[in-house]
Amino acid sequence: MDIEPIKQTLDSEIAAVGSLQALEELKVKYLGRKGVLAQLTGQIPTLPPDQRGQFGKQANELKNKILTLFAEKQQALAGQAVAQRRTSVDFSMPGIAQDLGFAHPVTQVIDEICGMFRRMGFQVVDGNEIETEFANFTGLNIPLEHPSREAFDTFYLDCPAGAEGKYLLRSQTSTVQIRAMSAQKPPIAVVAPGRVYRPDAVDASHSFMFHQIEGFMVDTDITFSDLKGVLEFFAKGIFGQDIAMRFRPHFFPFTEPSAEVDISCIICKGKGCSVCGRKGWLEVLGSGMIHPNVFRTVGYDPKKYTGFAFGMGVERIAMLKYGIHDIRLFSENDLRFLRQF
Amino acid sequence: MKVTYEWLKDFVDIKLPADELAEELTMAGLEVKGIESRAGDTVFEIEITSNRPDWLSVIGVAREVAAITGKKLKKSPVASQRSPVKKGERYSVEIEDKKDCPLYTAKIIRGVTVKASPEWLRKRLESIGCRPVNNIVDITNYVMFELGEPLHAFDRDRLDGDSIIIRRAKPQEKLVSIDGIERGLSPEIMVIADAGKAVAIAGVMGGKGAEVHEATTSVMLEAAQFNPVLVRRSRQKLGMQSEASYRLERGVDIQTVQQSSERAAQMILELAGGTKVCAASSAVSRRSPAAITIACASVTRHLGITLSRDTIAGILARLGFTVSRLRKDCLCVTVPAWRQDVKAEIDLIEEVARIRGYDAIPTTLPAAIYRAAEDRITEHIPVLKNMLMGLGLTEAVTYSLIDRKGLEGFWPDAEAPIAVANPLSQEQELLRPTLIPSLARCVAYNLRQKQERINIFEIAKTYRKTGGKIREEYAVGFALCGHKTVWLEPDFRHASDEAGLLHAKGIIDTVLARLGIARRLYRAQTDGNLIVEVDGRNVGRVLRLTGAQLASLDVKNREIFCAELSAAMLLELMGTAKTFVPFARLPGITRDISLVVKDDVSIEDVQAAIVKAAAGLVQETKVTDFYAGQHIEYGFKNLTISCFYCCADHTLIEDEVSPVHAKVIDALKTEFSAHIR
Repeated sequence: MDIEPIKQTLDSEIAAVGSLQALEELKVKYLGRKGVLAQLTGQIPTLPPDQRGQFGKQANELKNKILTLFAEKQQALAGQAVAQRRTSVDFSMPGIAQDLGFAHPVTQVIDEICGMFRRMGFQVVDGNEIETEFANFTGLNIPLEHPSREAFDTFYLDCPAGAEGKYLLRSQTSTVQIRAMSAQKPPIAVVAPGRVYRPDAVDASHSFMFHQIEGFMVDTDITFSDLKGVLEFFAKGIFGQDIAMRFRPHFFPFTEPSAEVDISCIICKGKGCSVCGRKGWLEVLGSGMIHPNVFRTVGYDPKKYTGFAFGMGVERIAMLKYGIHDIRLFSENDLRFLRQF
Repeated sequence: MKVTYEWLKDFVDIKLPADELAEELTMAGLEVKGIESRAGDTVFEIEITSNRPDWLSVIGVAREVAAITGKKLKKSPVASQRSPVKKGERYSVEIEDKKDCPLYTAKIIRGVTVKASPEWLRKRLESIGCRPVNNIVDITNYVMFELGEPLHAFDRDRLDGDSIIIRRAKPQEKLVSIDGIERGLSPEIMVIADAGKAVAIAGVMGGKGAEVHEATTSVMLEAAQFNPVLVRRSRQKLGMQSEASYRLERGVDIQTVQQSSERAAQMILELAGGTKVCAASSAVSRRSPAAITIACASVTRHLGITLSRDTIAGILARLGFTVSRLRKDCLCVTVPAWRQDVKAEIDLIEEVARIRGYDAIPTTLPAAIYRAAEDRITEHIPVLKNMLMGLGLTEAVTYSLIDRKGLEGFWPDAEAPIAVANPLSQEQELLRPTLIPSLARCVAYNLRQKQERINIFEIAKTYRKTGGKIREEYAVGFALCGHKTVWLEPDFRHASDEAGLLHAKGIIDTVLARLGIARRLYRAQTDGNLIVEVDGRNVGRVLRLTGAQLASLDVKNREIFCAELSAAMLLELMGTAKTFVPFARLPGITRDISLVVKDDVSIEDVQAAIVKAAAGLVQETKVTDFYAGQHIEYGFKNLTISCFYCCADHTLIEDEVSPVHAKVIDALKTEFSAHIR
């Protein structure tokens, strides 16, 4: 048996091996008990003594060569196998992640709206929910016995009245006007989000608890045109730059002139649909120039200062924004609802 | 309120088609909610704001149409000549309190024929949804809708005596109203009475007894101005509402009262025949109309547009104000009788803005930036929310009001919560003093909906009365039920781990650490719940719902863990500034200690003792194993704590660590009688 042809076969056979298993088989073929190398060394005793040394040396070289080649090949194949295993993840398996909680849609809308006003320099203020007749009504130019009070049906608390009249759960966030202006001198610009309460029977569009955002700005030269500008910046930021807006005269006891603010229906783009009641417009805000009587209540000089105020219902805006048709979903807290936002 | 296109045309020429007119009215503050074609006419449904009682009439809307379109109002339908009184008959008006009823007029017409109204009249009433009755009643209604003053016609022959009395009802007095319902009256209610009895609830509804009927031949026509507050209280007290009370509680002016009375009398004479035999009236204390000064500069100051004095004068004149030029920049404006709402310059500025159109006012942004500092609560509640969401909790928003039953077992009976005086239903009885029952309910709801991993939180106010003082304070509450939220291993090893008390503790610890509050203590209660203390103050609690609580929520085979912390206290206690603490970058040596200690030994104390005994060489201790069960003596637990020794200025070697570690072990033996394994 000659050594040279074995070397050549070995080279080509090793090159052809594609897996660790095949390499193992080849290893047996060459290095096994009855393998090529064993056969080769088995020939030695049959050779003439003068050739034995030389042949033995060659066989030994061959053995080393085989071992080296196998080791190299083994390494190469092992590396391949690892690489193969790394890429063999089944991507169709569900991803693995830490559970992340969701913010309630009301919080998300409040944050978005307050963020918009913060960019215009407004300060976010938190107001009390337990309030007095003074802050909820009389201070806001709503006389005790006036039909306009009817719009603000209110929960009263079962405790003795104080210096500011009966205690109640605020029926509007406008109470913050009274509190913040009494505490701070102009210039002042505030947005105040929070819960409000009205004794309404719960149905798809009414709840006895909902959220409002009140905002106001007072300085020496604030005009109705500023009111329009600020609310336009807000509405376009929330509902899109392409909406149309209109300001409609209305009556609120604590503002004059007062305006209701409509945006073109974001569902039908103003053509008229069930959401906007075929009118093409959606009412989103109440607003107006702060009434001089409110300034007098909080100790601002109405001859020196002017200002505007506005208020909006958060759930209403969230319902428009996300296409939610039932206000009860907000307080039901079904995870299948909350996890959508 | 409803008006029709044709009826408006009685008062003003209208060239605009109905839909354009509706748009104009809406943009002037009379929001047209609906337009409907009906029997050749167009009916507008208009929402009238509570400040404009004068708009609750066809003439009121017509005045507005005239102002908007620049047309003149047609001649008043009320004949300028008063119809003459023939065969004078004595009848007097007696008012108990002028404050309750500033004006009462009574006209007596004898010899009328009660029959159906002519078709045009019936059609008009029907078009605005008013059912025709007979000519007399229809006329009173017609004039009310047209001019805004509610009128009432009594059958004169059913009124006893020769005077009509306006007084408060007597206690226990009763009256059957026109709708046939017997009403129990009281002195808060004002009535119209004859010599013997109440015959009508003033401003709200007439009585059945003196009602005009088919055989009536003489009528007493009432037109009055009542105290709006009293009308409102009467009808609230009686739980009724009428077209009359709707108008009278908003207020009708004296001029309109007189004109309407005259107009109705004339129509009765014309359509029902008869003779006016008496026109009695209480004395009128006429006040001179209010005069207000408006400056052009004020218009600019409020609206941001500059209008000439003539433009302003023109707008106000079109609305029926009498305008005269004062000094250079000012106008003197006299308010017409029907505009009781106009009292000050700002009211006139609104009129100018309204008629000029809000669209004519440009949009500007205020130049100044005002941003003032926000308080801790406002600034940090979003931070708290973000932490909790990062920890896998989803935000819930639950009602601040709760029913008594829902609070049972969640709140000590001794501390009475604040109650709502006028709840609509049981679920609005109380202001909640704690968030926990609401959150537990929310979990229970989601369990019923077959939801999993119900880990929720809420940051909202809780309300309490302490020492007679009402307090509301933000609380952070959360509830855990189901799988804890962890990185799931590829083999989903942790997927079945139920959330427990330690997860609640872990969430609280993470939040507190983030707020820089390291000094917290969990105090176990006899009921197995935990009180969280910081600097000796109770800042919150962690609890595992009891079987009874779970049963009250109808939860079976599940555990719910809840926690509540005072947000106000946390934000008060939070560390303000953070300071960097250098850490050792050099390699260190880890030594594990496995020890058996009594069950009641606090692991936190053990860890603290290790750190203390190691005198600064231990950087970190970790609990790597915990066992308490049958393979260990009852009342004991087995812990493995891994200690990481490290030094900032040189690499530690075994010879340095070994004596220190021996000291640590000694300390554990002496302090906790620990058996080291």
